[in-house]
Amino acid sequence: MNTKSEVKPEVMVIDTTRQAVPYQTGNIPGPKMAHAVMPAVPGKMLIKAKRPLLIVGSEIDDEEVLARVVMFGKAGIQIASVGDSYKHLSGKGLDAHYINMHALASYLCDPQWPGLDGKGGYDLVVFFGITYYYASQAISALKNFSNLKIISIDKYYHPNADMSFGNLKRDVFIAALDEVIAQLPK
Amino acid sequence: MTPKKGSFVIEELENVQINIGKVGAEEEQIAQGPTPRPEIIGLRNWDYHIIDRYNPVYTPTGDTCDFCTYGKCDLTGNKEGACGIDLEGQSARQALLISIMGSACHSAHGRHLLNYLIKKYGADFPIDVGPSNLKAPLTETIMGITPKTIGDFIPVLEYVEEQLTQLIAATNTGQEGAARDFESKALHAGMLDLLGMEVADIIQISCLGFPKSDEKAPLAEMGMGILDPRKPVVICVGHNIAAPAYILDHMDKNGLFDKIEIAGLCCTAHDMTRYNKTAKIIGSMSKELKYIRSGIPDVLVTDEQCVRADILKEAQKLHIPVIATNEKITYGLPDRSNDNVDDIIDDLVSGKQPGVVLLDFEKIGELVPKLAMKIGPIRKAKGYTALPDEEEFKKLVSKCTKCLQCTRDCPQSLPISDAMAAAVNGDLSLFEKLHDKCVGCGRCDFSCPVDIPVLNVIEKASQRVIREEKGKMRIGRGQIGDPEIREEGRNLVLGTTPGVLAFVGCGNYPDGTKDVYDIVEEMIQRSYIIITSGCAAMDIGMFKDKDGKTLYERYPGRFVKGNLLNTGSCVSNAHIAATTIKVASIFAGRKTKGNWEEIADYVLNRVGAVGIAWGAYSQKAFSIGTGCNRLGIPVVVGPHGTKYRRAFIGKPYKKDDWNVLDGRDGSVVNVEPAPEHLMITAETKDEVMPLLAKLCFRPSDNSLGRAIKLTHYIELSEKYLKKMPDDWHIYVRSEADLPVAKKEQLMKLLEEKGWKIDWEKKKILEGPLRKVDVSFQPTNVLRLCKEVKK
Repeated sequence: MNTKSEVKPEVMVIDTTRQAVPYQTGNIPGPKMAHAVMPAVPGKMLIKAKRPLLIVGSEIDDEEVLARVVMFGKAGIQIASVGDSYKHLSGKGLDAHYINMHALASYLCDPQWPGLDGKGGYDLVVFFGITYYYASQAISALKNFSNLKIISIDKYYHPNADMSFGNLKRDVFIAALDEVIAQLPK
Repeated sequence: MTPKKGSFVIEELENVQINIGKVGAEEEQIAQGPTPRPEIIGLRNWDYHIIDRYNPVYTPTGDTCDFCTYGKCDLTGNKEGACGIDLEGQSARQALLISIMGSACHSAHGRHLLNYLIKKYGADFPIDVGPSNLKAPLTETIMGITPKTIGDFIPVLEYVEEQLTQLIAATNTGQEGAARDFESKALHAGMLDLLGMEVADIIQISCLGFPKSDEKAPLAEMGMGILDPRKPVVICVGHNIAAPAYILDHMDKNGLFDKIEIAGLCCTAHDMTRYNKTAKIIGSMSKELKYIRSGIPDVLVTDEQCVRADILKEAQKLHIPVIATNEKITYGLPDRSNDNVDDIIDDLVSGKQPGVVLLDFEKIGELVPKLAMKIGPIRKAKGYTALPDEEEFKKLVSKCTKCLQCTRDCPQSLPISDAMAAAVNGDLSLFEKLHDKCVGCGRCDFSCPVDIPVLNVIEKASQRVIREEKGKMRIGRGQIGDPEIREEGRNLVLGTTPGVLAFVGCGNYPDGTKDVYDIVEEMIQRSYIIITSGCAAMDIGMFKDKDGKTLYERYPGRFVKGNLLNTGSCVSNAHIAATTIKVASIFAGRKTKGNWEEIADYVLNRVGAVGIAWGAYSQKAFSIGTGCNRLGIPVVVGPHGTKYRRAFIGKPYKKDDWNVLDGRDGSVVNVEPAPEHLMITAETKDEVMPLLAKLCFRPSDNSLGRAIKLTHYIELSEKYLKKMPDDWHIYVRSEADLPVAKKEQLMKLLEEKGWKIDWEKKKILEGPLRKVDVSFQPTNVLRLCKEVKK
């Protein structure tokens, strides 16, 4: 008996763990480098975190990337807007705060920092859309001098994070962000 | 009377010579402060003031230490290594080492010049820097002496060299271990750097006829497109004028300026134009490899600093002889200093030798023009260039596989493969854009798996824009003269001139040269005083407005608001820092000699000066910045500056960090965070502009000054970040501090923040951190308080 197999819609297979080598070739910090993760991991960690912080920078000027930043913000995640990224977030009704990335790295290492809104520090830092080497250096402070969990969901593999996507092509990157966002409470 | 060294011989006692070190001392040589010639911990208390407020922030580039044979040690997570040092300590040790490197570089430059100039002009040659009584502010403040002759700088450099040796010793394994004290020592190294630079520039200004505080110094031609490549071309690379001066003299004497093109790359170019205004400038270090590969230079003359390590290799490929004129860079070349000039020329023209070390300045002066005249026509006839021809170019761009390896190796992550793809279709515009953003490092050449010489391809594609690359720069003026300080000091301290912004450093810009021009244009239109030096000074002059004028042609060069001043080469950075000392001394009457702490305390609390090294790449830039920090001057660097691994960042939420003393009675006053940081980075030019405005706030601002500074801070934030700054209200002490045009609107915002406003009288009743007090004497140093003194 012939049975018709169910026709499933074509789904883009996202593997964010490929190409997990430092995006800038020489950026090899030492024995501890980020675990490459699939989008489900940061998604679940964002849900589990008591006080997560999303950091975004000057590379959110891409329309599709910006749309994902807004989705994160609408899902209730507080945003640290570093570099000149705030000009893209202004007036969008997000809990977004401008701060200098270097200063933020310093404050995140300080348990006494009251946070961007005065409500206390953070337990999880997730970031994307920041100039690669700038982000890499800034989070090296967090890696070595704080107890925070740091996850890169950028299109670059960031060795100084605890977890990171590998080096992704733009379409995979956007799809990966969508997968992370899909797990957040609506 | 200046102390002199002397000796005499007693007759009939032939073998006895009595040397007298120093004879006499008059009042002006007596130190006025407690720390003349401070030892390596002599200013530690001041350093602690700085470090305790502006905490060092470490961003390691590597988590291991391999300094000794115990290692490599894994220090990740601030673990200790085998010697007991943790990552914080190791990062601070690296900050010290970087500062020492930079400081040694400038001081050794000064030493080379001093030995040479004393030999040529004599130790008694008088110092002449222009219309100033305070001729050597850093020397006075650090050493406690007033030098009168170039020979008076001998003990100054001896002091620097001795201190640097002590500091280097502290970095050995088993020596210093505390991050805090490594930082204090790094600040010491930075201060020594300022001192070494001051010596180097004052002696060359005095002896070599450089402009002396000349606000109307002439303009120099500049750019990759300015030379006539049909003539023999001599290019001098580096920072030290000694050798190029002889070449210029020889050319001048023999009327060769019409026959030979001579120009400089990097700071040597500055000093060549200061020495002889006929000389030209190719540009910053970013142009070095690009220009060599063009094949245009017929002779390369190197001296010291910012010379590429591969310059001989690159030159050799194009049959460009290299004349190495400084002991610090010799490339394994034979020393021909004792040989006949014509013999050397024969060996270079024939290619028998790719270059020579030549340390005899007279011979350099004679040889280089002769060599250029001889080899120039030969090279031009052969058409040497590393750039591909049209056919080859097409083949090369079509070879690109878009693997992106070049982008991943590029310091700026430039989208090179997109430009390759566009060029396949005949569109060169993307490459033309890359030309300005590319720092010319050549890393891409080594990364390409299909062996495309990427930099050459970028440059070939950009020939149209390179031909048009013609700018102008006002020749380095040297110091800011005392009369200018008298005129402007008050405005600076009260804040009515919104600030002094010093654009210094190198060309490792995150997004191209144009950014630094854009930032300067914005800030100068807002009446900030812009001082510049080094590669930044060149890059500022590379762009023109719609009328074809550079910023140097649009804005005068006096030390008053809305002016653009170029002090000169790297070592002239000393004058920028020293300007703040002059303000403290001339405007406020502070004693300078041996009085670093008081002067730096004054600068930190009252002089709204900020340094910006937007493209800083070198150890020298870091040590200059660190020296400025010890003098109380905040410094901002571009995003690459995070790779220096240490910043000094204030924490405005820690209220107690912002306690200062009132000099009148020693009472503690909690002030606004001003300046908020001492060394910090920014990601983009749009971010840096409001940051610069904010870092110009000082506790001493009067209300008019504060209102002006606040206006710019708010406007720049609104213009570039599309928001009111979150912290603008912290800087409001009374309604008089509010910008007049927005007063009502801002008062409403303050009311929303919970401040109490009397709308009838338009007065703030409650809310500010403190009130305005025109007599307030902010200080961080208890001994400077009057009541305490009693």
